[in-house]
Amino acid sequence: MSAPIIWILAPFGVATVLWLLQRKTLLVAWVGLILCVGLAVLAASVPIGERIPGVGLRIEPELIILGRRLLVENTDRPLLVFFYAIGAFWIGGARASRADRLVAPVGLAILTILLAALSVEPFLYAGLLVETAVLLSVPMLVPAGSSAGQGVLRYVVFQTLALPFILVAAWGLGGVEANPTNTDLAQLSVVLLGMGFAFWLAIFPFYTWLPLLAGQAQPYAVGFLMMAMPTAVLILGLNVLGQFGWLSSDPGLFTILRLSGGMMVVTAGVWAAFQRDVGRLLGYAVIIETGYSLLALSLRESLGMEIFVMMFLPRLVGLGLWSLAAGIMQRETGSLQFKQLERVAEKLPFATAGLALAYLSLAGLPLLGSFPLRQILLQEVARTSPFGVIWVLGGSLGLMFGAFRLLAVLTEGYFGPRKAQETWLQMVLLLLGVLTLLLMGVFPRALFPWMARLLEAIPALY
Amino acid sequence: MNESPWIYIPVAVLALTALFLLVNWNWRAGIIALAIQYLAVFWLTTAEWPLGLAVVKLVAGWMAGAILGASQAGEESLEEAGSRIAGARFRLAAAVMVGLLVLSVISGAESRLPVPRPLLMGGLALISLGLLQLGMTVRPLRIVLGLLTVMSGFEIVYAAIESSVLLAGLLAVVNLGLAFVGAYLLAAPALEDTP
Repeated sequence: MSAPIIWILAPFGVATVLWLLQRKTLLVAWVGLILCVGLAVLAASVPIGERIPGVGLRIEPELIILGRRLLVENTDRPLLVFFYAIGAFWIGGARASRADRLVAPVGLAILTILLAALSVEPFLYAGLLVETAVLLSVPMLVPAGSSAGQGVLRYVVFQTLALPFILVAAWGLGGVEANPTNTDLAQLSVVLLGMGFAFWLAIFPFYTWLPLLAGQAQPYAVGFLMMAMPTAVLILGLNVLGQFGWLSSDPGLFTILRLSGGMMVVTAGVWAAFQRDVGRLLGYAVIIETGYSLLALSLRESLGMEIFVMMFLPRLVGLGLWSLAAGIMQRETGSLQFKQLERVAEKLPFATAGLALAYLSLAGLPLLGSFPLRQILLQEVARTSPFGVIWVLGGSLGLMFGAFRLLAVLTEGYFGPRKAQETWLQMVLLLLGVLTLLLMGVFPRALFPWMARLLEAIPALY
Repeated sequence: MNESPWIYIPVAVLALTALFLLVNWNWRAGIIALAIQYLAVFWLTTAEWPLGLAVVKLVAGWMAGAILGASQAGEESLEEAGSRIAGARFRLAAAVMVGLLVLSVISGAESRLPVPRPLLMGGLALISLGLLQLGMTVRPLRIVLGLLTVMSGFEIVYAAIESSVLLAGLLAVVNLGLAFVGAYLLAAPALEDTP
């Protein structure tokens, strides 16, 4: 048995079966949840490429398909744990959020395809796999009976446009490896690669589709997609930088990363301050998160890499909590426009608290999940560009301003004691999310060091 | 590669079909133009690839067209009746400007990519007109037609630098996937959402 079969092909097969059984939502949710938890536990406990103590079996790290290799090494185990944790997190909450029935099977399939993209060699096939994941995600974003908004169309367009850039860049990078003196081809490859990743990650100025998509599609599906896709693409980018060492030796790359990251935080923060839709705010929060990830990578030191991987945890909990709370509100009010959410805290106090705390955490409010890492990151960035940090802080303040406007709408200054309309499952999940965010903010050393293990799965660039 | 003047016939066909897709408002005519476009893509690709491999593009493209055609519920027009003529004129003018831009960048692209001129011309024509189409519409069918046009253009250029059988197959799958997504987006509003 090989690792790619266990963690990629078999779960994809299960996802296909679950898709066929999609109307049995309870069964699909439980099977999906148990599978994700089981695969995460298996990845955490069983070595790859070594004999399993007490059993004597050995899981092979590679699988050859049509001459191409899927490679899942022992060092990739933390990544497997994290990805299946994302799956468990979202599939586990899908029923509570009353998300579309496709979220569980399609979400699981997308996770396996993204894992395949991270493990396939040569790298150019990753582009095709990511595109497959994008196309597969469309039914999840536009459920049967609803019309496709402009956001979904733009999402498909922008993500698909990345593919040609990535494929030609992969060809160019191969050419440069064969002939390192070909500087023209090297330059062309770098530009094309940068464009491809800019489209994939919705990097400034290619992010206009994200708030549109988040404002039109179901928040739960968007939250999942905006957690899984950028995470996979960012790690894929680091894999490419590790594979072609000469790329990361250029200091210009890190300047571009810093500028792009900073611009994303600043512009998205300014836009977020004036939004009147919780869905669009989610889009801007995701842009800001990606911006911070780029800023962390731009530090060009091991601390930056540590911050980069640790930020995945508050992002996972923050986006998950936001998606769950927003999904509950959308079901109750029919819309995520501010107008429809006035005094919603009276009916949905737990969802309101969850949404507010998730938002404030993503905005970097002290004592919540994202704050400890943001503080260290901004301190480090300030060493090289103190003026830039002021702009970035301004962007974060914009998001924070949007959070306080949202709070004012949700509560309208006062909400009296009424019976909460959330179900007990929704209340439990929302409370767990809120407590986790507080735990991360107050005791950062309790959870963040676990995330640092993800560094084993990422090539050491510095 | 064969540099005979005949090779420029598919280039002209590509430019004309892409232009027609841009200004046309009847979806049936659009699907037919797409089918002719894939025929020209196939013709141009045979200059670099063996016939058996190049035919993959033709089959996949025609299948994509068939999927999109089958998903149309009967609405004939891709445009609002009132804005058809003015819209077509505006698109035509934009296409002329984009065409001039393509002509101006061809020599630069030729020096950077080892792609024969006819393939580069055909590929860049499709990419630029496809992008123009994508930038000028919010209709799902037009968007998918634009994406298929851009992908076709890219595949022509890519055929000259990469001839992997697996890659050709996977790109065909992506094209079919785009067509299925387009068909789904067209049909989704009318689909039944039973619990």
